[in-house]
Amino acid sequence: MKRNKVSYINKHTGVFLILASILVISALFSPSFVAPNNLLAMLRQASSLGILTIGQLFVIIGGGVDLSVESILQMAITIFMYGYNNFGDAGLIYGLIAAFIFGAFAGLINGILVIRFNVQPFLTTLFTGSIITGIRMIWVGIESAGHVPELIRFFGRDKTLNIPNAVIVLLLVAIIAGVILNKHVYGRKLIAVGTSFTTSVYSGIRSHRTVVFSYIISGVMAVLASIIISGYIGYADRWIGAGMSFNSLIAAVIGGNYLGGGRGSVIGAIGGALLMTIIVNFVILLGLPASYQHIFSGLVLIATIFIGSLSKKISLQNLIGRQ
Amino acid sequence: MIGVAYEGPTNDWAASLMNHLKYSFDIKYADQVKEVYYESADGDATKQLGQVENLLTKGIDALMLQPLSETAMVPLVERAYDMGIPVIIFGSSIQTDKYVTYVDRDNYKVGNLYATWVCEQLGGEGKVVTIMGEPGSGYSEDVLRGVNDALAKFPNIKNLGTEYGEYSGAVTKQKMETFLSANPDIKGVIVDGALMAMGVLEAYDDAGLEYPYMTVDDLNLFQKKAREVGYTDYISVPGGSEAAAVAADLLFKYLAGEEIPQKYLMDVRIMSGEEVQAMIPEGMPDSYWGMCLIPEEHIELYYPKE
Repeated sequence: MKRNKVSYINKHTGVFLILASILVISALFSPSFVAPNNLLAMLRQASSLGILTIGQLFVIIGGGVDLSVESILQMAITIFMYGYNNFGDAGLIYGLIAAFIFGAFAGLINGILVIRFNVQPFLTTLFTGSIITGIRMIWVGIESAGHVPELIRFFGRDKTLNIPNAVIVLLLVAIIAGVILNKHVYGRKLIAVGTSFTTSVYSGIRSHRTVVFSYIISGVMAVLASIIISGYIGYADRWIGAGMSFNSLIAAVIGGNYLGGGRGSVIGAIGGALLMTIIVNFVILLGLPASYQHIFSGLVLIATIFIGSLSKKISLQNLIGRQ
Repeated sequence: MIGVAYEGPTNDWAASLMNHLKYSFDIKYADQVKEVYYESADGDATKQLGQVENLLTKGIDALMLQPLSETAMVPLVERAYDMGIPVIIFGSSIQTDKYVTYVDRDNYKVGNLYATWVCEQLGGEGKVVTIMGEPGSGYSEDVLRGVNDALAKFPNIKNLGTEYGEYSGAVTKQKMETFLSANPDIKGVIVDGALMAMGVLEAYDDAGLEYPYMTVDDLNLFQKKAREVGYTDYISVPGGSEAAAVAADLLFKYLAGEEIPQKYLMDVRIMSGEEVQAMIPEGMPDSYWGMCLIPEEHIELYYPKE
């Protein structure tokens, strides 16, 4: 049977169609906007959100959400900067190890609360995030932790062969996440658990463990994102990353991922993070006043979701037509 | 007995405001104060409503309030006024005049001085960008009005846009990188905040461009960075958190029967980077502000040396 061309349209079409449109229009306004260096700069800007969104994606596929990621990110910066400020370069290494352990532990707690005690993921992670922020405030107050060391700058600011290291890290994370979700048994288990928790339990999957592990992955991704974003800006402001929990959730959804769990795509998540970043740059380039920027950004994001759901509808119609 | 309701240490500016309050009541006027009830709202206007309501039941002799909402606090301030409790407003405004005095920085003038200085450095022509704090905030809009009025006097200066950096270095850096991608010849940036100014410097660094003429407040974080990279083409104005100490002075003058103005806008002047850096004692943390009204012998109580 001849394959209908529209069947190539999938749930990620919206985000990439809008991204392409933005780049074309931007090129008309300012050719330098689409120059390779600027495109790489925008990819670098999107890297920390992209990594956070990939972590969020694992949780979403398992049927949950993680709103504690920005608190974990901020605490991670505090931990490794504490190590660096007090014990120098060796302290930084220990601080980084401690930060990753903390991220995994925070994810473990989130996962256990959600799955063992059957608490709504939205509320659980919101409150654990709040507790983490409270502990951080008691520990260090609001005092900035100062300029980040060169090792952190290497990951957030520097380049290798003219490609920002942050982008390389994002790509590596995306490839690993893609392999886990599509090829590894854990990915298949997570999809099964997210599709139907009860069925997965009866199928012999260790569903509780699978979900808990998705939160651990999200926690670890938040720590990785903390290195990228603090390296990007160069100092450890206590409020770096504010708003990124919701942004990572939005990025995942506008990338065509489904909050109900059971499916998800790394490419879509990256597309969502890219769009969330580039749209800020685009409205600046258009020279819109700040208040209009909000309206315009909102309209573009709605259009993305609309195209995404339209493409799903077309795919479904094609499927029915073939049957 | 004095009731103090304030934002709480949610950021460096608010922490400095709090330190000035504590110095005033715990040290400077300690002999005149029987008790001070501090209420820190953690930046939450709703929480502050309950706190002020609570303070009014404690039989306080005066209320010092940094309102977190221009409108929501009005009924309570008016109630305090009707109860005969003198109310001192400081740090941000309120939409009633039933208070003894309102103390703040002259934010319009700050914006005006910022923009005038940058335009003059550029010889009255060239491209600039304006970076404010939060969209919709009364404070940011006051500064912006001053900026825009000054820019209007320089017809050959092109303001490429007014953006809001949300007091975040990362957000500001991203926005500045976008401006620079299309206009690498931006020579002046009007910035209203040190964290955002850090983002601007970072964007210029990464683009391999010379730093622009820039404005910024007197937070030590930025001053240290400027000293470190040898950057001097900027001016600073005091951040205004010292308004808390000025407000406390006016309160005690009022309680002593002296006449005080109903509106007291602290005058501002521009200072060179070197001038501000000279005002900052050695070893102060990033969160220290150049225009600190806490005497040097007490500073370590509030800002332990690094």
